[in-house]
Amino acid sequence: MGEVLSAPAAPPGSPSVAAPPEEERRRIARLFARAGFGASVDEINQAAANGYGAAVDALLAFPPAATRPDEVTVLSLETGAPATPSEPFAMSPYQRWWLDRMSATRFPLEEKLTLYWHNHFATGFSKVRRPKAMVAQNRLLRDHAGGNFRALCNAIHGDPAMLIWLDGNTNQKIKPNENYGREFLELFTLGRDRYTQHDVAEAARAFTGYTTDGQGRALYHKELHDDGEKTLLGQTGRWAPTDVTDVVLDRHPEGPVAARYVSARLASFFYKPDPEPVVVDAMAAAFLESNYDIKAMVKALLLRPEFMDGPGVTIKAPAEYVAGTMRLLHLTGAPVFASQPRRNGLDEIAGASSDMGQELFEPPDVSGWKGGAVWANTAATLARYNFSARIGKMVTDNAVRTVLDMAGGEPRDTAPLWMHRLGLLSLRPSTEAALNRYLDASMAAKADAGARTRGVLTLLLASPDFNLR
Amino acid sequence: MSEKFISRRQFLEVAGGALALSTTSPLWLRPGAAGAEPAPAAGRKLLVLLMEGGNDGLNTVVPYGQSAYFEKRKTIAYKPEQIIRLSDSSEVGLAPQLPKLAKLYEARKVGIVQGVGYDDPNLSHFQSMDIWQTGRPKHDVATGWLGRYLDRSPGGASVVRAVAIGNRLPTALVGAEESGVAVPSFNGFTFFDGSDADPASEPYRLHEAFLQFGDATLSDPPAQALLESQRHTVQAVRAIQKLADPKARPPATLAEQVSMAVKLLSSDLGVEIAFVALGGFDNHAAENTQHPKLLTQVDDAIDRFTTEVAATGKPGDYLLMTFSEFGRRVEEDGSTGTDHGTAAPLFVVGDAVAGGLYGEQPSLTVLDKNNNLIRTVDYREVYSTVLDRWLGQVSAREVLGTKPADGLHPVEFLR
Repeated sequence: MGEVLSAPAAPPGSPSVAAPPEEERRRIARLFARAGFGASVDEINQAAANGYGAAVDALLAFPPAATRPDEVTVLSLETGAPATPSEPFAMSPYQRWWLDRMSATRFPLEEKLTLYWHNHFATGFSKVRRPKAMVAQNRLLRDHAGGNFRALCNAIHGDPAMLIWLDGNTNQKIKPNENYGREFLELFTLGRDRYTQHDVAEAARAFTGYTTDGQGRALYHKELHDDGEKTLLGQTGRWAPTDVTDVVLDRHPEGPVAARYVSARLASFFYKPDPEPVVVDAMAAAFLESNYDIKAMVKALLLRPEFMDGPGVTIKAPAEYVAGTMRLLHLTGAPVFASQPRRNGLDEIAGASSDMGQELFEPPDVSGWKGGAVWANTAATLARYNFSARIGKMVTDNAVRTVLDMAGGEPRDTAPLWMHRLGLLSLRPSTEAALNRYLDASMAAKADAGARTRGVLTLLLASPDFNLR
Repeated sequence: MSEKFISRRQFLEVAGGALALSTTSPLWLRPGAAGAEPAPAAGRKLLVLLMEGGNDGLNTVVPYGQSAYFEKRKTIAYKPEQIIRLSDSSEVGLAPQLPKLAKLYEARKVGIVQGVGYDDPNLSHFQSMDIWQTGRPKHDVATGWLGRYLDRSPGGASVVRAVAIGNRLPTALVGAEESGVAVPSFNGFTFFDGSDADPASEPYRLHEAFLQFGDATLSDPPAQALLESQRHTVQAVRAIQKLADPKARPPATLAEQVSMAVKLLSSDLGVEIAFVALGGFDNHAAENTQHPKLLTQVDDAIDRFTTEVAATGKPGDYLLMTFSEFGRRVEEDGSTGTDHGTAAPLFVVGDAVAGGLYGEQPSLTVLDKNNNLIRTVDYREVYSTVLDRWLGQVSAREVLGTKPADGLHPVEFLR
């Protein structure tokens, strides 16, 4: 086994910062789990010393990806990706690349938002079949992750992967194809029952004019666009694609339906399913006031008292659970699981997220992954346990020895050390009881101290405490 | 037309050799929908096959008797000579990719229920799917129709009464108290750290702890779902890994999913319901290259079903039903595909099926306000047959929340 896991950082009590109040630490720990990919207790303590508000500002302070050097990596990745139809396994390097990026990024909220937009504008490789178009869409989503929602919608209208995915590239003025028009209204902006079949047909007309070429590039042809009058949501005009965005965002007869829908959908991912209406209202108000600035809307959520101090929890999405584990245990880029090649050569760590129900670049359909309780079925739960067990087994002997030494040779005392690393400030009593029963039973069976240390890590990773946020 | 044929056929069957069925299913004493007395389950098995994305019913069971089919589908209609004719119809035939199904139909093992849908059709995939899977036209509950059957019927000691093949659990199998389990493959449904059959082993100790995490009391629905799933998972893996074949590959085709489902249904685990799904039916574009491939998979899968249930020695215990969230528009779009539609046919398959056509093929010219077909059979009428006449134990009325005033009548496709 290679050196894929270093020893945990110094135990609690390092002199970096004074221990801040418990409440602030809890808030910060949840903030990092929700708006990022988790943080160690050291990172939590450091952030807590500056206060929750400062932590929110720091998370939101990512510069636009398009202006940063790491954009170069994405662009070269995109350039090198096949532009022509490819087999499913062609996506596995990009799945792994993205998980690595999530686990290593300096801007975790940006990456979390990119994951969110991938779910919101869910596009699947199985139909697009062009890795380059999928990677380009991923870059588009990151470039706009914390930008303006109106601009994001307008960019998506002409995104090649989306044009292929929802047949926008064959939507012609003679006989429009309703696929994109319907989902733009239902899933991307307004929600169910906030539009009619007539609106779908009119939106489809307004979106006519795009094609894609053999290289998967988008083209817009004026002569293929239906420039006649359309009546959308009661508004009549010679609507073109960007006009649809404006009508939908600004002129819905029932008011700011889109601002509320997008806010509620984003809150159900970052916060919990069925967020309180008061939370959604606050987000929607910030969204409207800022003319659809995504960061303003997200900030309104992160600063809500319900979000900061309420009891709401949800299940981590598989990608965030996997990427978070990689981040906290320093597994980024590690050749993990390579000893057991997966079917089609899919990378095992990307495969783990897929087995848990989230295959990146391959959402189940255009409505994305449902999230919340839907993550908890037996196949997905078993995959989470098995991922934990794999990680427990692949920890290097050196790391296990170091942790055991720090714990004075007592496997039971490695638990607080692993918790420190995983950013778990405490455990639920039932988790602690189950862990203790395991430790008692394995001690009675005279199990090897190293095996028991690995068992503690496995169980902590598999615990509800680490799977919920 | 077909109704009369079926009635006569049923009569002949009963009078002929199927009297042995009478102890569990007295055909001539079938109570009306009003006083339905649920029969015991008696080892009956149900396999549900989902064609996800909205299957084009008109290019599956082809209404060649209506000229509008050819007129409105200039590029995607099958030519008359391609359509597989059915011996008892001069109105509808089968798509050319369904030869095995056609053979089974002629052997009277397939029922085609035509024109199935619901009133006030919803053209959203997701709302329509909710309507079908919850069994409620208002999709006003979080549970599925089969999940509520699980909740309300005694399952004995079985920890795995319903199985979905794959890593998603369809809403249909979600109950308030008891849900189905999702099983991606036999050897993908085992613990990575090894069998825990020996209570003195390290895997056993770890898995017990994992199971005990579920002892927590948490109030949020997602947290509760996670804990429940942790308990359920350990129990289900312990049960199902007895069936594991180390050489078995994950199912790559719909037919392989069906094989896995039948293996589970025929095991001694007490599995009553299995669910398989094939996606890709949302053919807004290039339908004539996409749809035939999918139908071939369906044809193979249904054929596999009949072969494998025959091998169990009790083929009469197995019923397969297909569904899709909706059919497609009569008139093709400009992308050689079809937009979202409404009513569509579904198949019921098995030795217990009387065979033939049920319901009526909707008109292709008298359409609703969105130019879609008008349903002739309410989907809950099909569910009622499955619940009251097949699974038994709990009445369809209780599971579906229907009332006599709804005027729903089971479709008599069972022998």
